[in-house]
Amino acid sequence: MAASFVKPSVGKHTKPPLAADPRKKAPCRASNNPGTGGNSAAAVSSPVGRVLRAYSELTAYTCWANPALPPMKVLIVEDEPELAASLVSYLQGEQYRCEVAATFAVAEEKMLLNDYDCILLDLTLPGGDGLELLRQLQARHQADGVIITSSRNALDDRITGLQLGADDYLPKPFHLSELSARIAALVRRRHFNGSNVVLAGPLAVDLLARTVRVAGQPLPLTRSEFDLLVLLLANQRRVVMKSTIAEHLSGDLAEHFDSFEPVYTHVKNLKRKLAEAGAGDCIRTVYGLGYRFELPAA
Amino acid sequence: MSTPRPRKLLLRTLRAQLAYAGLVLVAGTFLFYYVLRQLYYTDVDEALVLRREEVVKKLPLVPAPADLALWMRLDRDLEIRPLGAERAAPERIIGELRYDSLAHEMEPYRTLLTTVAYQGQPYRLVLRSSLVEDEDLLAAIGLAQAGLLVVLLGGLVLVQQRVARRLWRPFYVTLAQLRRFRLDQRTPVALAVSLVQEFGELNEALTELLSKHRRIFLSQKEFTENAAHEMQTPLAVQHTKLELLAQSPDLTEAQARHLDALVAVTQRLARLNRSLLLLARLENHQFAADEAVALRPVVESIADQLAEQAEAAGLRVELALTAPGEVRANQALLEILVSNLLSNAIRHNVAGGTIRVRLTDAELLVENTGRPVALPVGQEFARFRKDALSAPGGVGLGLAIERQVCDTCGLGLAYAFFAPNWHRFTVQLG
Repeated sequence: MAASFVKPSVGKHTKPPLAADPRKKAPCRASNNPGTGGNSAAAVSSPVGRVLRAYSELTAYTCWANPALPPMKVLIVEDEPELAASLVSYLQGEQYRCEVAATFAVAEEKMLLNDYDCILLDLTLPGGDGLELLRQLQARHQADGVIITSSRNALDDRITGLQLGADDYLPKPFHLSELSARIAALVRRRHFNGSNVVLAGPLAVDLLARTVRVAGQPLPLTRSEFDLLVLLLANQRRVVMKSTIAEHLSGDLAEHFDSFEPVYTHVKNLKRKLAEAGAGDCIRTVYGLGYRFELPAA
Repeated sequence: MSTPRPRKLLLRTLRAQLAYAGLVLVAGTFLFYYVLRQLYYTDVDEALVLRREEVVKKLPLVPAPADLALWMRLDRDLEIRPLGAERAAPERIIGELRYDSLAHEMEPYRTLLTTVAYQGQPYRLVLRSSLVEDEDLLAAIGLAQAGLLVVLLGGLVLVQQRVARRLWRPFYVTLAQLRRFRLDQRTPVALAVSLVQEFGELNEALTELLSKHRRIFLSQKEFTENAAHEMQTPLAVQHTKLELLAQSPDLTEAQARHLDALVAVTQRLARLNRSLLLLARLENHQFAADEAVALRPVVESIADQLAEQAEAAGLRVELALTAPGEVRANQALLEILVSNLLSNAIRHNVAGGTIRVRLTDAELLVENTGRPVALPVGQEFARFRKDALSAPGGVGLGLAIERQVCDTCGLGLAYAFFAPNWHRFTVQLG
């Protein structure tokens, strides 16, 4: 399966304009751990960064489990308590500090009082329209940390939302691992300007140049394999479902197919390439359910 | 019997009036003719009687019976002969046709027959009066009548056009407003107030009807949005919970299998829900389809993205995009259309099959090998069609969505089957 067959995927998750999509989403497809990766890239030029980088290379798990950085603050604006609970549960595992606002008024107040690294915004809220909150944020120039998570998939909502400065639009129902990857991309872009190298064990993944090095040696990957690796890295030690991968790799088009054949192929190829490059067996198959990225204990 | 072609109201009234006027013209002409002829005959008959009196008075002046012949030669309309063996009859006047030696044809005459005494002998006296002028009279009357009618009708048409057109103007204004009316327009329609009572009432009734429809449409739209929210949120909860469950450290293989099935079903539900909502929105005309879109990049991009699936299925894809395929439509909808068409061509294909995509300025053609049976005629675009041809995994709405997208964008969509196993979908552009 050649790389040229597959399109960029993170941005594709949202439905319409194909032409407009990659443009809009291009920056956020660089999606991995904001903590170490961003930090380590900053490291290239500063002594502090070099120390941090060395530190992160010592620890087996980099990602956002980096104790050297304060946890990222995420506001979840969601009126469905069970969904909010799921989000908190998943994101706290990623070292985010989550707060939940279930109504328009609460969300409005929290947004005024605190500064969040990322806001997950549902549009249909008790007490008001989420787009109104977005307008308020835009007036304060804080809209760029917003990911709209809406069941209102109407085109105009999506377009209005993005025009109002929201960073991303993820229609419900979404995959937690996909959401996690997008938050990571967003936080990384906002807080680690110009930093785009994610480190994980012997792996160094440059998100902007789209290159991978294993122990310093370049590892050529196809576009799909790279996207797959980035998704897995953003969800280390988590099971990423194969349907999530399928959608991540081919966007809406994935919904036309029940066959996961391309996913199996890409995973197999990526596993083989990583193993051959000496990164070890870091992609585990979880009972045909999905895959988990885990660096082998040193 | 075919239904009559609809015509303009003004034309219809005018036609009735013309028919009536024509009837009056024909009937009136004949009536005039008979009445006038009767009057004329009476006149002629009276003249004949006067002439008889004159002849009787002058008869004694004729010296000899031989001189009667001279008189008859001088006056063609007079005949006087000895009665002979005939019985004297009472005086009577008859109409007859005689050969006119001057005009060389049969001519109508009024003829008075009577008996007179001449030199003590009974004579038969015949006096005639030609009715040649009769025909001229008929022609003159017809002409006069026709002229009168033309003047009358011309006036009628003019009056109709001027008065009626002014009277009906509010009607046409209302009509134009109705034509422009769109359910999804932002403002409610405001019909003009008319001075004609009937039009006023019509506009009132229409305004009420339209605003009712708009309310229904808006609530339908609202329902669509609410349905989206109400169904997507539980689905999102379900999906995220399954994802969290998958993170359990002590997951057994059996549990994982159940979980996998649940995830697949949830995905399918979400897909189905999205498709239904898209259909509802399409049917509610919630998409504007008036941007200029070129199909070629759309087809290229989607074909590129699907190439992997096609390859996995062992299919050969032949693209022949010879034209940009410019249409006025909706970009997002066209992308849905093309991805549905292409992924259908992949899913419903056979191992080692072929997909051909042709794009010209006139049409987009998607052909694929498949099962050697045509889709049932008239059922191709039905929803939830369940038969041997429906592929597993699909939600059965793909073709219905294609049909609706084409309707919304004003494009034609046709299906054809070619032996042995070619299925072809044609999208007619413009």
